[in-house]
Amino acid sequence: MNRRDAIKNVGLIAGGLTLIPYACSLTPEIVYSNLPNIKKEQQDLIGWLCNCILPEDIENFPTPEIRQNFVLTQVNDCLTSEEQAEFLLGFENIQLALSPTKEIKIEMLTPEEQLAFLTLHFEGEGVITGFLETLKNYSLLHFESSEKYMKNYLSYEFMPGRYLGNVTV
Amino acid sequence: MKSNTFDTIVVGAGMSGGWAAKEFSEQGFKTLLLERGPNVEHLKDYPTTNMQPWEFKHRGRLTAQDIEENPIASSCYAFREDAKHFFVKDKEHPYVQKKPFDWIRGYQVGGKSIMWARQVQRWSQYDFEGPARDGFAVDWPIRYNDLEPWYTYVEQFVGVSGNKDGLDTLPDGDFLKPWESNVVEEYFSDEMKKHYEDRHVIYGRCAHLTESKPQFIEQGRGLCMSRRICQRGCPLGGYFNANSTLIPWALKTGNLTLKPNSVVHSVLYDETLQKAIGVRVIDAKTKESQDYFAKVVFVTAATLNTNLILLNSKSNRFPNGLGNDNGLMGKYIAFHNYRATINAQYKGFPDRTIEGAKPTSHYVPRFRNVYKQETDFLRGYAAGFGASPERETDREGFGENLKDQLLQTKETGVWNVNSHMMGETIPKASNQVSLDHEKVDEWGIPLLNIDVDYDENDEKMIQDFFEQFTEMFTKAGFVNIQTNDNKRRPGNDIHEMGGVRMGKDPKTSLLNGWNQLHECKNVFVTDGACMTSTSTQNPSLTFMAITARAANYAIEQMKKGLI
Repeated sequence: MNRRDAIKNVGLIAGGLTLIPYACSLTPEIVYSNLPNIKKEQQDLIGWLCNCILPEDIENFPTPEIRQNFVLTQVNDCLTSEEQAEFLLGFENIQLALSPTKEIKIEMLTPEEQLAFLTLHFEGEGVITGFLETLKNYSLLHFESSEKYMKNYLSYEFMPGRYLGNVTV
Repeated sequence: MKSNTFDTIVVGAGMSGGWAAKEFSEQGFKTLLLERGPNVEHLKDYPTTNMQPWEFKHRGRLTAQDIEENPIASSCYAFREDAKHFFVKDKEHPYVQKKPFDWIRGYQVGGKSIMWARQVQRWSQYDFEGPARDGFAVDWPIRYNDLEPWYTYVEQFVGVSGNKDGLDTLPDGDFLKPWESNVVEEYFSDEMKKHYEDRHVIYGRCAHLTESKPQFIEQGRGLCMSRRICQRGCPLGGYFNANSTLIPWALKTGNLTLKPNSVVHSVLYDETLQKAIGVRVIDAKTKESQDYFAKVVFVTAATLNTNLILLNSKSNRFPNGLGNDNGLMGKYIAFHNYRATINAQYKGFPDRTIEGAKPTSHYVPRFRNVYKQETDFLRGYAAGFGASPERETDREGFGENLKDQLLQTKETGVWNVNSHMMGETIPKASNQVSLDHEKVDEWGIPLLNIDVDYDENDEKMIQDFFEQFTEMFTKAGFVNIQTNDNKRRPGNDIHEMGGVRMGKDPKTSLLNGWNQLHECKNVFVTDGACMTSTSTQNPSLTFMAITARAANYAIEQMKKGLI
């Protein structure tokens, strides 16, 4: 990631903190049957990380559910029990990597430190990277299956009713 | 007429059974149509039909539980969040796999016609002559000419979009207009004409309405809007399934009694009368048994279940299954070999793209061993062919940058092309189904043992497909060619056929040229179980034509009092 990209991401993360500080999110707690130990604050942290990875844009790309709920639903329903165990291990490790005593929370870091932290762990190969990749993959699915994205960027039509096979780009 | 007595009984309310029910009801015969699964009413029972992709909780994907509990059903391309409710779940109806076999089933009114792939290619004279010429199975008792008018009859009711291509290997039918081909499909077709005399790339004929006609209006069906989510059931009736056409058509006559949740246990045989007199049914929910009676029984429960019912129809006269004097029932099962695929790219037409969608792709009729034996394997393969513009999306990184990249998604100007093989497999006695001697299902019916596998002929055919299509793709200037043997298990093609094959000789076949059991003439089998060989074409159109032909023969015979 070059300097210009990094600065842009710092801006996002700072903005994210302003708008959606995960520790005081108004999102109601949802009990995920296969993730019973992920409590409200941790759910919010996962949602916050998802937003850092791929910013949610509710205004321009609305979806039936918020990112946090979507991603946790997929983790709960679509990962095997082994994959869920790996996911939880990655989640535990990312919290420990931040602070072995878990006293430091990610929002306590400066935006630059947050960026450096995420960049470091995205570029790794261990369970934390796997955890972040899972969040990223489901965040991408959430964004790319939004109505506006599908219609405006993927030419999706529910009832096209025609097929033209030789159209000038 | 007593409430349990009819003129005809049809077992199985799928595509074949639907045709039999329509023909009998339309011509005034009181008909009982039995279906082991629940009713699915057109329009009313398509719960996901109008859902948008973003409305699905898992965006169309399966859950881990779906996959874990259904390793067989989930191997089917259409078993996804939007249509999984139409498939039999693995635990619901177990069977014994002597060798791995993916038995993909749809137990409901309409059967698999709700979720089918809708490709409807006629067989040719070369397909019906194949076993006799090449010395496998037994000679078909019918030829293309016997079936030709029935193909037309069925196509006119079903609605088939296609081109008249003038090929003897894939006869033309009564077609509705086709969708456009795209530039790369046309290019590949032209290139093959330049390089080969016998290799054609044509529009894949499909059961979709592209034109309105009086019979479709009468059926209440509208034009296909290319939604390409047909497996959910179509609220427009744009593609053919039994639910939107055959069954309501038959019900409208007032002569059809449709009984869902009715598991047929066996066909009843009267030793004195020396003919079948009806069927024994187990209520799927209450498990209560009831007998129904009729002059004629059509067994169209889908290939393997038709075998199961007949094998389970035991009597003093037929201790090994109804009509099974020669012991061949359940043997000579065959299917289609879909293991080979090939992908590549084409960099021509970078300034061209497509708009909209269509519910079919292109088709390469069989070109191997058509007129004479020319390879070290028997028979040959057809193939699908598709071409679509490649789209590129940069998903590297994270943050606002990643979002910006997603908004820059674009077509690259490169076309992705692909083809998949549809190979004929050779029916063999060793590929067979039989009743399990120990295990029964919850309705007290023996489980089916399935013992079916590929053979050396199939392996050779796969290699030939790779070689020939690599050559064809290379000649067309395609690049980055990659072949793949997906190792899919038999059954996953959902084209299983045979076990109650037609033939001329009662010693070597079960059914005559009119689909009557040689040894019990008032029982007809007209679904995939009757097939003597498999050819390469998707078989549903042929099942329907054979059924319509046999049903009308049965009607003639009943009117004459001969059965």
